[in-house]
Amino acid sequence: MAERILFVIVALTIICTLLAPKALGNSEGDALYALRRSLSDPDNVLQSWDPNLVNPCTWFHITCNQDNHVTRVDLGNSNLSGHLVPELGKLEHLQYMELYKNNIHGSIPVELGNLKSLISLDLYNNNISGTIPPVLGKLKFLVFLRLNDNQLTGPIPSALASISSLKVVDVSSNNLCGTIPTTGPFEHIPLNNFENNPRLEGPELQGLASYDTNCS
Amino acid sequence: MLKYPIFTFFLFLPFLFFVCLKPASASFPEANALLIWKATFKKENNSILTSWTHPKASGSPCNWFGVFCSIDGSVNSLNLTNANINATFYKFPFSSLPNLASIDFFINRLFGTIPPQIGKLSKLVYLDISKNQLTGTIPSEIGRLTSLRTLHLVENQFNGSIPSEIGQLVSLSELALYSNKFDGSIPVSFGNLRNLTFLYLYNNSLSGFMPPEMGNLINLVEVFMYTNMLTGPIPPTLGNLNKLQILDLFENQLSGSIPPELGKLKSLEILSLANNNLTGLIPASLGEATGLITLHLYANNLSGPIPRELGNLKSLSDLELSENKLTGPIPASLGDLSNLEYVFLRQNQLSGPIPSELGKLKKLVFLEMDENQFSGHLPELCSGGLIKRFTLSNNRLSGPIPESLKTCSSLTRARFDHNKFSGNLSKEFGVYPNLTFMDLSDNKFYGELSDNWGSSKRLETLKIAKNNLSGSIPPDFGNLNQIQILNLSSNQLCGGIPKEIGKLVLLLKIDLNDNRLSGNIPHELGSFSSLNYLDLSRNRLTGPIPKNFPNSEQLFHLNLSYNFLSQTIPVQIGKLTHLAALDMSSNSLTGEIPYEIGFLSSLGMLNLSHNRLSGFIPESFQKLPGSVDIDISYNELEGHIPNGKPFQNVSIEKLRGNKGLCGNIAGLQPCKVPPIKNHKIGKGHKLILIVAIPLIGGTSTSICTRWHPDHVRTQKEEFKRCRR
Repeated sequence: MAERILFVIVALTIICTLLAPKALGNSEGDALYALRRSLSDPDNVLQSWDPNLVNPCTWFHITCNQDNHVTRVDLGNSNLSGHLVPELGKLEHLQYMELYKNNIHGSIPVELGNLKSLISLDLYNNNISGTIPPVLGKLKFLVFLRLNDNQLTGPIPSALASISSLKVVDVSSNNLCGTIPTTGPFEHIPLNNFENNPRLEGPELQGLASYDTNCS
Repeated sequence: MLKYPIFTFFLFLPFLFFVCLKPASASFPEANALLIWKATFKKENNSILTSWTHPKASGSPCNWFGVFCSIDGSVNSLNLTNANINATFYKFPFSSLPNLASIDFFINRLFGTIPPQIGKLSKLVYLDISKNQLTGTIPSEIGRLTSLRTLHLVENQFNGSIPSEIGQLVSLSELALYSNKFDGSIPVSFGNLRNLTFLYLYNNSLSGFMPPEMGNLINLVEVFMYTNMLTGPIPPTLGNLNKLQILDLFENQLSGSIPPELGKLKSLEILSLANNNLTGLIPASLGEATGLITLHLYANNLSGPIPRELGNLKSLSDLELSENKLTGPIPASLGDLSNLEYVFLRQNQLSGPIPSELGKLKKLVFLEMDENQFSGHLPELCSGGLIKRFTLSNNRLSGPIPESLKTCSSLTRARFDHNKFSGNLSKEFGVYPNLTFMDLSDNKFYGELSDNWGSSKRLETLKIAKNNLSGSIPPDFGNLNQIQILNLSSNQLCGGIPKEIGKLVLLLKIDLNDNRLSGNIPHELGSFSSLNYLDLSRNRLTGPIPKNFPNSEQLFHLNLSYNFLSQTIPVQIGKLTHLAALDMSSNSLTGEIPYEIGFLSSLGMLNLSHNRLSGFIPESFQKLPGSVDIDISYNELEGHIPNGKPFQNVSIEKLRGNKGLCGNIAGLQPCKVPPIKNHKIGKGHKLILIVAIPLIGGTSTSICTRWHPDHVRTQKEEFKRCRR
């Protein structure tokens, strides 16, 4: 009986490794396929995401540059649920990650800090929890960071203030705590982009002791 | 004297008593020992082992679930497959089950390590503890199990090196260690396992060289060592393994050449050396391994030609040589491989024509030869009518599409792009009921788009960019209700954009730029709610931008530049909150820039240059993202440049050629009066226009035609050429 089970497992492995000619060395396709596997997709918007293709550049909702590197993921308003995956951090040429208005839960993977070409991170209107990873401060080209309407907790990392390209930040309607940064790009972010965070104190006051907010 | 015999009888009675009851009490300690182990099991909802209780009458565990005994009542086999046992081996009665020959604990929750006492089970023939949560190394004492024929430690978390003592298991026929974390080298002592038939070491971290001593294992039938970190050469001694049917070394770091000795393997059916660092030639002798059904050499550094001797592999059905540096032509002899279903030669440096002999392959399902240097004309290829995936993109192929491909109704995915194919497109392709992807871009096809395309109803991607197509886009394209990407750019298509395109609600990307399309933009294009990308630039479109257009929040790219669009920019444009690039330059747009443009909160590029926009720049531009690249040059704008980041570093080139812009920018005249709220003045302007239009209307039409004589002339020419 056990031998029969073992035989079936071996046979299935043969089929999987040999009959499905894989696109090896395409880590971007693998990373996106990992995302597909962790998302629930009732509208089949990811149906074209076939890992047997040599790269993801012909997949729908994906845009590539001339060198076949992924520059955009456009999955806003696509009825997706499930959670993000750390493999997304491998998309080194990604400029636009548009996952807004879905039902994605879980936390923001710290690996997104590796998306060194990222210009826009739109995760707003989902069910995302956990904290905003401070490592997002490494995203030196980030212009748009829209995380509003989620269930994020913890502070707004001060590391974000070091991103001089940051122009649009919206973290409203979450459960953030601590103070609102006021330096660097945060000088020009309107206060209502922070509203609806019951535990968020006011703007940080320079030169005074930080509030004892029990926020970490 | 009589007294003594009776006395001795009574003396011996207890002895007899024990002798008679021996068979029963032999298993009594075995039952006890098993119960001592059972007592260590963590409590689970497990009714399976309720039979494991102290037997009152016999003391025998032989009726317990999963316990089997031999005739003499001694436990010889334990089969607890999938019994949800959550325990360790630390109290397992290794010393108390002397006749135990078979242990099968496949799929449980056993954890901890294998104790060295395992060596005491000297009669063990079968050991399967696969799919548990065991950790640690294999104890060297395992080498004592010299009767062991089957060892399965699959799918646990074992680590460390495989002990060389495994080489002492001379009866071993089946060794499965796959999906663990074993590291280190394969022991040289494996060469002693003369009875080994099945060797499964895949999905571990094994490193080092494959021992040449493996060539001694002449009973091997299947070897799976894929997904490890093996280095060094493939031992030529493997050529001695006469019974070998499967050799799978996929995804390692093996180097050196493929040993020609592998051609001696007459029983070999599956050979995968893919995804390694192999160099050198594909040995011609591989053509002697005539049992081969599957040959995978892809993703290596192989060079030289494809040997014509591969044409001797009459059973071959799956040939994959992609992603190497192979040169030379496809040997015509491959046409003899009548069982070929999958041929992957993509991403090499192969050249020459595609041999017509390949047309003999009736069972072909996948043929992928893109990214090579093939030239010449295509032969007939879909003679079996089974080809589903057919990619020839990025080669130097020319000539027409052969008849068999025109009628190849099995096609699901076809790529001919980036070649020099020519011919009249309306005659080259037929109807493909299963086709989802077709790319013909960057070729020399001419002629018109036939109605046929509308009948390939499963099309999701259709790209025929960069050809010489003429005529108009058939309204039948409105039947392509699965289409998501449509790219007909860089052709000479004329006529109007059919309104039927508006029915294609799944469209994500429409690219019609660089053609001679004329007429108005149909307002039906406003119905797309999922559209991401729309490029109609460099055409001859006239009339207004429809009021309800565009309507998709997900639109990130909108390019209408280089047309003859007139009237005003619709205020609905403000809804495109994800628009990153908006280009409406080089048109004849009039009126004011709507303040709703300020709502485009994701804008990275805005080009409204070379139009006839008038009035003031809305103050709402201050709300645009600070890094937006704005070009409003060559319009009729006036007034001050709004404050705020978008205009902070703007250069004069992006502002020049207007009526009277002023501000604190180098090259611009400074503003004389303090800025007044734009919208008030705007209203005033509108009032004047309402009065003036009837007066000016009459004169302006004649003026317009005088200013743009080319425009009118071209339209007339088009009307002659575009029949539909």
